[in-house]
This record gives sequence, structure tokens and C-alpha cells, in this order.
Amino acid sequence: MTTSSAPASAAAGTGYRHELYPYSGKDEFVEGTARFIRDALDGGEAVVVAVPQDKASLLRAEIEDDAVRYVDTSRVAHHPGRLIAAWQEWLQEHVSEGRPVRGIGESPWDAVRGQAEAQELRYHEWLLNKAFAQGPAWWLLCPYDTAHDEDGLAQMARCHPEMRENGRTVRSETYDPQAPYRFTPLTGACDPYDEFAYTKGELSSVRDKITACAEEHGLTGRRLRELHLAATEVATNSIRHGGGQGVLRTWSEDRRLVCEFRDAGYIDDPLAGRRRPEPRQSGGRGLWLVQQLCDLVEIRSTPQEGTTIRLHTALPE
Amino acid sequence: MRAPRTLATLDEVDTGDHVCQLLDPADDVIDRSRAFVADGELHGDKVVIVGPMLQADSEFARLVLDPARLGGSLLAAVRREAATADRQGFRSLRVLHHVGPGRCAARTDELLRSELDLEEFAADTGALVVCAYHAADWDLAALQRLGCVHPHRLGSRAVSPAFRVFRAGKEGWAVTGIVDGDGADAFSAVLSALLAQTDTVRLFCHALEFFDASGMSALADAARHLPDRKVVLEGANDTVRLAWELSGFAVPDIPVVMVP
Repeated sequence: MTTSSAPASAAAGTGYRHELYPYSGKDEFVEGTARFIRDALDGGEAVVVAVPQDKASLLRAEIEDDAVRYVDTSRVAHHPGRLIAAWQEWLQEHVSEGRPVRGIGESPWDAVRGQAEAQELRYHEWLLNKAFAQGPAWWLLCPYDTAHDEDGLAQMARCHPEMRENGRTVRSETYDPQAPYRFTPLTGACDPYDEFAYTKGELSSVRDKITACAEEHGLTGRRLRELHLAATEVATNSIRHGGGQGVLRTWSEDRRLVCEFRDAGYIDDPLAGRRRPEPRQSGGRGLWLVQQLCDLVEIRSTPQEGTTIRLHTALPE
Repeated sequence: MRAPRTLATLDEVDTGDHVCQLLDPADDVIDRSRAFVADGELHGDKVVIVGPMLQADSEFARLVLDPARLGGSLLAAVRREAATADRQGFRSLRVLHHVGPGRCAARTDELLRSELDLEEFAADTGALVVCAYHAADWDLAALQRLGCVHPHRLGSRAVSPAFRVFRAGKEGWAVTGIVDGDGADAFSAVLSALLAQTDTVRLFCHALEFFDASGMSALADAARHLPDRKVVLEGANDTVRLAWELSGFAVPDIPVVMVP
């Protein structure tokens, strides 16, 4: 049994709990998560389960209850930049009812599409603490299979304020709420790459450069149009907020087209682009669109070094 | 439906065209005008040259409409000329508009509205309108802004705005290309001008690539700026629709609707 008490109310605010659950094998996954769900149901809490399909099947076989909502994660699971908005959407119904909520969230670690995606999935876990710090109270349990590499587990521990050990909730020793996220440095641009410096009035030229690289790799039609839109947003940010200019690099890597934008600007809100915009808000939609339209987005920004944004688009088979 | 195109020479101009021609400093205005008049005579068109009268004894004096002496709008004047041309049995009216210099934003906006009028006039009457801008008199941003309401362009340094809005039949206006941060202000000005004249503006978007976030904001702001207005986007592609939904603009109090 856990020693932690449930949050008082979904509407109470500032009661977000984010707990890592390292497990070994399917049986331990089911044992720990099922217990978490049963505790929630016993307390009259709503439960949202967002895990890969095979894990959801295991849990469904164990717990048949209409109060447990199994959500389809296929649209967002491999797109870390879309996950915070997805959780907000999944929780919305229960939050508006003022009902306490527990969630179970596990990324498809067995099927991650490269180191960049794994890195962004871990960063998403870290960002969850900021995204929900001022929001409604809820409790998210994040199962993580210890069969994955130990370094991955250590990095996950740094993203979670709490950990589950031997059925008990304990404080994560390596989580520091004041420390910045420790990014792994971006890999170098793959050779050969094309480079283009852009400034005001050159958005069309930016798109032309991307088209040249994309068509070389068979990327056309709707996906290219969506990449153009995302690239336009990033380049516009460079021109408006990043010193009036930027540098675009394009290359292909592991069957993906990568468009990298560098400028002198600084994005001080790490959650920029991660929350759905309101109809009446002015601005703040650019990075949101970028996150929704690209397969993967990497953003690195510091006051000292400026901003680097990489847009990844899967190339056709 | 009319389609945007780039012309290599004035010989390619046809009835119903509305051409943005960019003149280099070396271009001789008199020579250009003479060729334009000759083409008009060749095709049986009535020719009008809009611009200041440079010389009272000019060979074109009888053809010149001086904007300073119109006593009304340019649109009203060319409509009168078109009606006269029709009565006199000409094939069409052929207008060469030498646009005077203008570097201030107010002048550009005023011209943008005038160009929209001329665009509608050309499309609806079959008149042929060539608007000649001297590159040295304008900055590139203003030329891009004015170029976006001309479906046709001509000149060694033809302006290439990322989007164009032009008349598409009596029912509405076609939007082509991309409305991005470079063009959002111009798009806003165009749409606001159209919405000032009619309560529902129908935009044919079959050749529109996308609006970026600033383009969508321009669309939403213009649509809700005046009461009881509506913008109908017809034939928008999946990207336009998806971005509109994602951006949170697809709500009832923003009077923009998308139809197949």
C-alpha cells in the first residue's frame, strides 16, 4: 500500500503529484498500476490511463470499471510536444466536475524513434511539473520499465518529484525543482547539409530552400505544406524576436528531414507552444502550430547562446 | 476563372487582365505609352492613360485622364470611359495607369483600395488595366503590398508577393499562395476593404497553400472588426482547415466559415 494520501480535490489547485514507478516485467507493471487504480476508485476518484496499447490490454484484463478511462495515445505518443495539451484535454471533463483525478502515463519507450525523441519524451516529463504546478490537483503515476538502460531511469528520476519504491511513495533524491533541465547536447548536423541565412522579407526563400531539400527526398504534398507552415512560424519568430535574422540548415537523418533554425533570440517560457491557444488570445500560436504539425520538435534556448529549433519530418518510405 | 500569370512583354496582355508593371529607371515612359496606344489601335480598344499631363501638346493629350482633374474617383472615371467605349463599338477599354510616387503608408493603403476597385473593374467589364510603378519611387514592401491585388505581373524585376487576391467572377475573390508574416498586414487591409463594401466576402481558396498564425489572426480580426460580417472560405485545403482548427479560431464568434 502507498503511504501517500490522495489529493483533496481536482479543483483545489497546486496539488499536482508526479510519481515515477520503476517496474520489472509485465507482472510488476500490472501489480503496481492496478493497485494505484484501485486506491483511486476506492476514494471515488476518476482515473485516466494513457499507456501503449499492449499495456492497456493488460490493465483492462485486470480492472473492468467504467470509471477508468483508457485514452487512445496513438496521435500523441511519439510527439512529446503535444502531450501536455493532450493531458489537459483528457483531464478536462473530470476537472470541470471538480472530481479528483489520477492518471497513469507511460510513453512507448520500447518503440521510440531515436535518441532525439527519447530525449524530448524525458523533457516532457520534466515540463509536466511546470505545466500543472498552478493547475488543478491530480496525481500522475509514470511506469517505467527498468529493463531500459540505467541512465534512462536516472534521467527519468530527475524529472519526477516522487518515486514509488517497494509499494511506498518516496521523494526523488535527484529531482531539483529549481534546477534547469539538463539537456543532452544536440547532435551535429549531418553531412551533407545546406545552409541559408535569412532576414526580413525572405520567408519565401526559406520555404524554397526547404522545398529543394524535401523534394530531393520525396517529401511533397500535404506533409511538405505542413512543414512549410511550421518553418514559416519559426523563421518569423527569428525575424521578429530573434535579432531580425536567422540561419537555416537542412539535412536528412534516419529517414527524417531535419530543418534547423538558429537565431539570437531567447524563449524564456519552456512551455511555449505546449498549451492550446484560446480563441481571443493575441499571438502565441506559432510554436503551438509547429508542435502540432511536425513529427518532432527540439527547442534549445538560453540567453547566452540564443535559440536553436529543429523540426523533424518523417520521410516517405 | 482568371489565373495569375507573369508576362514577358505587354504584347501578352489580354482583356480582363490587371497587370502590375514595374518600370526600371531606364524605361522610357513615352515609348511605353506609345507602344500601349499602338497595341490598343491594333486590337480595336479604346485607350486611356491615367497620369499627370506632362506636356500640353503631347501626342497622347486626348487620351490622358489626369487624377488631379477627375472631379471624382478614378473608378468612376474609367467606368465612364468603358461605357463610352462600349457605345462607340470598341472591343474593350485599355487603361495604362502611371502610378505616381508614394512612400507613406497612408498613400499605400489608399492605393491598395483603388487597386482593388480597378481589379474588380477589369474582371467585371473585361477592360485591360496596366498599372505602371516606377521602382525607384517605391520601397519593396509597398510594392509587394500593392502587387498582391494584381493577378498579372510584368517587368524585369517583377514583384512577387507570397499571396494574391483577385476577382473571381461576380461572386467572390480568389486567394492564392501563402499568407504569412510578410503579407498578413496587406491581407488584412485587402479583406477589411472588401468587408467595408459587403457583408459577406466569399474567398475561393483552391490555390491557397496556407495561412500562417499571423495570416489567420489577420483573417479573424478583419472578419470580426465590423458587426454582421462574414467571410466564407471555399475550397480550402486540409492544411488551411487543420491550422484554423488547431489555432482555436474555429469558434462561433469568429464569423469565418469554411465550405467545400
